Amino acid sequence: MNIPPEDLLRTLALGQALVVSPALGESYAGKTAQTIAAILLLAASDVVTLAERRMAAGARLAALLAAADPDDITLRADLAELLARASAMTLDERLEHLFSGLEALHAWADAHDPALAKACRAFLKDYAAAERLDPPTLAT
Amino acid sequence: MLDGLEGLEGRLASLVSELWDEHVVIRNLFRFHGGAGRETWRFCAEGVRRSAWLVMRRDPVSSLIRTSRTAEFHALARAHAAGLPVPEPLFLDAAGERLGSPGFLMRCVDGGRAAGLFEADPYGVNARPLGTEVFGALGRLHALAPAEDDRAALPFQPPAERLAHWAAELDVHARHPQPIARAALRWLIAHCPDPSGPPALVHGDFRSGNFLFSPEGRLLALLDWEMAHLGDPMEDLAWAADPLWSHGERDLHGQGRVGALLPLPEAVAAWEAASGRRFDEASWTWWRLFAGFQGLVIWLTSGFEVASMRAVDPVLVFSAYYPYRFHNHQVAAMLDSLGA
Repeated sequence: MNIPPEDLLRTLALGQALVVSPALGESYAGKTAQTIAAILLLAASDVVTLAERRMAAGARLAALLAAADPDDITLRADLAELLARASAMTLDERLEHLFSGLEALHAWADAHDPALAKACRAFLKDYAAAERLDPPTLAT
Repeated sequence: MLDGLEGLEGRLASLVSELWDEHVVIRNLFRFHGGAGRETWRFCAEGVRRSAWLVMRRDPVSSLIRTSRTAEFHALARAHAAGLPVPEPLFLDAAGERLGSPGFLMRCVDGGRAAGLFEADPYGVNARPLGTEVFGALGRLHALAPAEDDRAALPFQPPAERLAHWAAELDVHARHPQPIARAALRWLIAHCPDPSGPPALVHGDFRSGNFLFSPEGRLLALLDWEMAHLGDPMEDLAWAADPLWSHGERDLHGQGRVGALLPLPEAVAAWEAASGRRFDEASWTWWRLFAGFQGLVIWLTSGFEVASMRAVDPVLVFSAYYPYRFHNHQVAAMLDSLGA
């Protein structure tokens, strides 16, 4: 039987919250069980759209870096090389790599290109909004 | 954990016996969550002439942040001497020779509780009077003029130095690119304000969840003084007003009750009345962004400890997960609205 990861995590969270934590009461161990339950609940909802969000962020970020035309020869060359290497990477590696490029590009744009800086900020705001977690709840 | 229950019991019995000059037995020793930064234990010390519930805080193997127990003990003692509601500090072991690691003993404050992060409207009908009391107590803290011994015991960190402190922590603990924290740091450096007034004793982690209140809604004790320093009191106000600590009430633009207690103007009025200081409108935006940046670095540090396998406490995992993403979003949204 194949249990989807979100269901697995949620079941473990319910076990912690409804079985383990009450048995341990208001102790350090009991509070720890509550914290584990909260983490599992967060992960259960996070994992549902994780791959989709990463793919979308990677595609948008790659497009932002590819479209950027910084008036700095070294940075331009670095970005071109970074994008070329990123295409051969796994999704996680690629995102990490692209974000390091964004850090450099945004720092340059803050000092030299307000329109590009605005585009970097808009990407970061949307990315962080998509990644923000809802408070954990036992209700389905 | 540094040593087992029996070992710690022995350490405490020996120490309190010496302090009270009589044979003392330790009963009901148990650990509790008293802030993620330290190991916190409660116990009853029983001698022939007296007995008392005490609390011991000491450095853990790993933690959210690196702070000094000597500075924490000093701040606690200073606040206690000034009549602020704090646990009475009793004994400092700066070297960790008696407690197993640097730490201290303080008297236990009974009958209250602290609000949980996800607890909705934790103060209920008592929110307004309790909020007035809480921000009045903060004002009284900020009314204290730092003395020579405060300067000797606590780091002095006006805005630029405070920012430099967290920037250095970011450099040490960022294991992955942090484009939002880096962008915030650039903005904060470029717009660093002058101090809002003379230096004050800053609590450093003043927020909902870090004070005890009674069932009747009275303030019993201000807790967690480990990030105390001398600096700008606007820092405490901005951290207290951060949406993360608002129990879901305060939005990214800062609208809603501060800490589910009071609207910001009322919190500021209570603070101004007690501190004799004026709220610095000009630096408020900077301190609000600073609060989010500081939060980000603390949560990153927590993640660093977990990823380095130096810690197993789930509180550190949680901190690196929910609050990190919360502040990443908040800081990104603020930067976007600032247009910088």
